[in-house]
Amino acid sequence: MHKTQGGWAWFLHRVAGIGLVFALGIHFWVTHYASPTEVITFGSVNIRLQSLLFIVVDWTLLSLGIFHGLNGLRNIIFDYSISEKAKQRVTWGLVIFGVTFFIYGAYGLFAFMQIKGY
Amino acid sequence: MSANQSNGSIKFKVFRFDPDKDQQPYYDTFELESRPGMTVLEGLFDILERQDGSLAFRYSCREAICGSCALYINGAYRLACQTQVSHIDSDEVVVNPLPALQPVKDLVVDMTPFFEAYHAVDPYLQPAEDLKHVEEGKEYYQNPKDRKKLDMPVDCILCGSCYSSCPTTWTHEDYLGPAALLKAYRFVADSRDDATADRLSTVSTESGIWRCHTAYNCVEACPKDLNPTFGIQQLKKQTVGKLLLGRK
Amino acid sequence: MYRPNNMEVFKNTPAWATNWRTGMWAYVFHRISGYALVFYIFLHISIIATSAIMGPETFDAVMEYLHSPLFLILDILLVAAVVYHGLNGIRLILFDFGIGIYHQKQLFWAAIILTVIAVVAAFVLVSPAIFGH
Repeated sequence: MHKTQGGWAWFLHRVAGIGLVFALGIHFWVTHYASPTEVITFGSVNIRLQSLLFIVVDWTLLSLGIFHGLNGLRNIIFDYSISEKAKQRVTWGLVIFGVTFFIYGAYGLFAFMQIKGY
Repeated sequence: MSANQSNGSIKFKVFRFDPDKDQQPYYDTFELESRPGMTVLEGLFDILERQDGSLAFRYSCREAICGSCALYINGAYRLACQTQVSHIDSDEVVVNPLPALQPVKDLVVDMTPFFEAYHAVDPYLQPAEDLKHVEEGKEYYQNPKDRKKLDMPVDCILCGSCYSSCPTTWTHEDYLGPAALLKAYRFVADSRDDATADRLSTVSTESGIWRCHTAYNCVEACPKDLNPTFGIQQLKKQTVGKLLLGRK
Repeated sequence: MYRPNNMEVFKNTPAWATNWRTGMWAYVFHRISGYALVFYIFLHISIIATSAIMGPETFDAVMEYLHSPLFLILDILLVAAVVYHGLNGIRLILFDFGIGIYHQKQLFWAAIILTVIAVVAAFVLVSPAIFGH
């Protein structure tokens, strides 16, 4: 009977945010700041993506990053007076955009992971 | 130099707009005699009585309890009746109506969206059935500990400062706003009220609590030093708690 | 009948002299960094995925190009945005648990100080790469 609206989106936004804090911490440190003079190569990414930790980190970043970013955008758009219909269109538009980008990003990640021992 | 401490003259720069005559709002500057302890509201009365009888502004109790005279004075939300001219750190008292609400005339704004939001949250006690059978003339009992929870939210005087200061209301006309949400929290927190589930479903919408991004402008604006953000966060917490535990 | 836009009254007061205090700045910075990051993440995914799909040679060439001082300095700006957005995000989550609502200003300054430390550390770490060319 008592419906709530927007509660899950709000809650998952926070969960994704916390996940991103950890995943981005590892991502930034390892890719950019642990050995900053070294240039990243396809080979180094390929080797890194053979460890479970970085498989988890990179897929987490791709999925949570897209969700958190687009839901944040949705939050900003919903701060303006728009009709219910427009809100639905915005939500579905962002879902389609996000899923498309996730597939494309996944395709890219698989490119790194395909060739073992490149 | 801060505005005059003793007798002397003080400048009032006042927002003017008459919808029947003006195409654009403008500012009028008035020079008036200041007295020790003079408030901004007294200054406005001075202008009304001695210089310009057409100046429109709201007031009622003159003792910071009715919430009618909230204005945007020298960059801050203040009640004109409790703001002494000598406390304004400027040579000039700049008096604006509450921003983000439509001006009706001069310093008077249209408070309709504010009160629509207020009425939307059912701002009255809805007691449990067994309490309704309490004999006529008896009060609803509440222990001091439960009453303590209401100390902050009951002090709201509905002046509209928080509503006017909130960045979400600037862009979203249907947002319930800090005052109405704090009122909803006031009844959710009330041990005598039995409509919590209804109240939470009223406020947990995309035009309700999720539009609060905790910018704390309402807290800064409130002339009664209340904390609407605290109330809104409590409502969010209770709503999400119910979602996660799957309670209806 | 003409109705003025009452946001005009803000224009008569400079932003720093308005009712904007700490919390509002935290909100504004969170939003600006959010815009920047959502723009960046899609740019990032596009560039990395496209070059990876095109093959190792393309990817290595792109990485070589992006390892120039200009992009390394832009990376530090990215660190500033990410660290601030993340720390202020933690601040917001604490509020959701009912923690620190009455100490929001101190929490904001803690987030700012930690962001500055992170940016300085990032600069120190990357400076050999920036000036080594």
